[in-house]
Amino acid sequence: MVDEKIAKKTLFEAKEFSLFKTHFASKAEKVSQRDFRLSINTPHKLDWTPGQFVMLRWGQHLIGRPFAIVDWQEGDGGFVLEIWVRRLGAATEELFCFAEKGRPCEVTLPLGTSLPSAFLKRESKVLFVSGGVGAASVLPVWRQRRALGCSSDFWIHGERAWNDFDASLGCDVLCLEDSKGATRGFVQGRVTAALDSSKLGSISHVLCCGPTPMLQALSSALEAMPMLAKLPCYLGLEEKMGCGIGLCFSCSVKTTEGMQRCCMEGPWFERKKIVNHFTFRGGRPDVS
Amino acid sequence: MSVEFLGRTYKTPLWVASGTFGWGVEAYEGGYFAESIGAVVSKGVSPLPMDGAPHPRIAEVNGSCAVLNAIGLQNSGVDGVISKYVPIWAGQDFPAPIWINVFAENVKGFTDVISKFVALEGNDHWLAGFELNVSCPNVDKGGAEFASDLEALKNLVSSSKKVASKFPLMVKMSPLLSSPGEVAKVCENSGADAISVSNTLLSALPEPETNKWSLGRRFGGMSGPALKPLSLRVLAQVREATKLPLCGIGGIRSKHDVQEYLCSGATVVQVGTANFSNPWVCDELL
Repeated sequence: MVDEKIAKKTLFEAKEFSLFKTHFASKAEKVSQRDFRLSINTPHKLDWTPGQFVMLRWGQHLIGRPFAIVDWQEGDGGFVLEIWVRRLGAATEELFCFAEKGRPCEVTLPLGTSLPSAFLKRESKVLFVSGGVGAASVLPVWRQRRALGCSSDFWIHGERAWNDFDASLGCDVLCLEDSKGATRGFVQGRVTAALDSSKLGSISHVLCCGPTPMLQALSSALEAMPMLAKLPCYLGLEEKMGCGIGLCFSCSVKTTEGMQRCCMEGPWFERKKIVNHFTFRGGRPDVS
Repeated sequence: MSVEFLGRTYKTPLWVASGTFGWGVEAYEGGYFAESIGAVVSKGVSPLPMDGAPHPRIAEVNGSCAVLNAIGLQNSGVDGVISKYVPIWAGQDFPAPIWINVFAENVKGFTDVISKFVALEGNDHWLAGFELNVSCPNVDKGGAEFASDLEALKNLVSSSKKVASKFPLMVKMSPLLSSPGEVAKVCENSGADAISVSNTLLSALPEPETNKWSLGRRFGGMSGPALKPLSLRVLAQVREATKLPLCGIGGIRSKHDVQEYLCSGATVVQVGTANFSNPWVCDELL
């Protein structure tokens, strides 16, 4: 149950997002070796669209972290927000412990610009490409399209290892790095190879979210394929954020329309609008 | 809880620090401009547009004691800032006056930026003054920080004051100075009207798990609670050396933090990193 005292006292409302001081639902459902679905109670629900995200802050952290909104439904005496988290390091391990214990947290949502409406139109046929937890960003779009009756979309998903795959995803092609001996960049290569599938003939839109090297490989591969190069293709960029609401400029990327923020003008950017993003990155401690 | 500072009345002593509240326009247009914000210190404005630093640009230190950032002073240059934001700042409904934070790689760059704002018509009601970021490298002097070369600092402050004219000039001190009192005195004698204490502290944070730096630019400015005691020490030394009004900055997240700065000699404070997780935080600090 939502703690009504907390919920009523600590809601801050802006025009397009709200900050809830709330708590985790004491449930963290494991969906693969390192991924879990995490639920957060909210006393209200706001209008949101698939592809938007939430800033989540827990414990003593000074800044929140962005997560895709996978779902936001009625339940548990209020509303329950669902995000997916991969346990990758100390911060996400700690997050898992906080969630399991139903501890307090803060969420700011819904954030980010909605995808172009064509991605949610029935007559479109969308190619989804995701890598790792990037699947959480495209999943709500895929689900909403399914609900609209779009059954001819095509989804290619890449993972480093079988153990990381959530079998409930429902993707059409799974590319694994550990299936035939691992080499760096293998998943990118496999995902790229999968783009050659003859099933892609009538695709009208492309939506991608995943690790930066994968997006880079995909962007180059799409450019080289005449059939796909001209299609509207949106990439979900997941740069580190400080605020999620456009104040800190941590997540700015260079575009053909100038510097734009993943949190405000993104996180989805037309592929051809992105300039120099994949090489605009820092170096290693031992070589700088 | 209004406060007088250099001839202007601010509705509260709680200002938002440069780089931590965008241009103030985001919150105003987004309907989340906290009522208790006394003034907005703008993101740094340079003579020409700057794209900023490579990614990642922000990282939190383990133990949640501090945040490192290297945004790289991204801004659209003085002309871009004037055309985009001045019409909004100058609007009757904009809720707080603006201090323009200025940085450049030489004295001429600083004075060019300041003079363009001073020349704007009808700037009296929204333009509160200029905050000089003297922690940036002085390219004309081999790249050393302005604040580390007292002669260069003197020249910068006196030249800036000439063009700032009736508008107050506040110098933002680095927390790295070995003799902050001496530097503050130089600023005062060169025409500065106030000192803000302090800027972020240049720091590094490697990630052993990936063998990469947490920040794309390797080093970045540290802010947050860990900066507060250092900033309070610098503030105390500056307070002893000068009678100029002071603005305290660094690690403010609670009412108690605000009181610590005020009882150490600051007249006003700037809230920084705390805005990131809660843009309404100033309403909780009064």
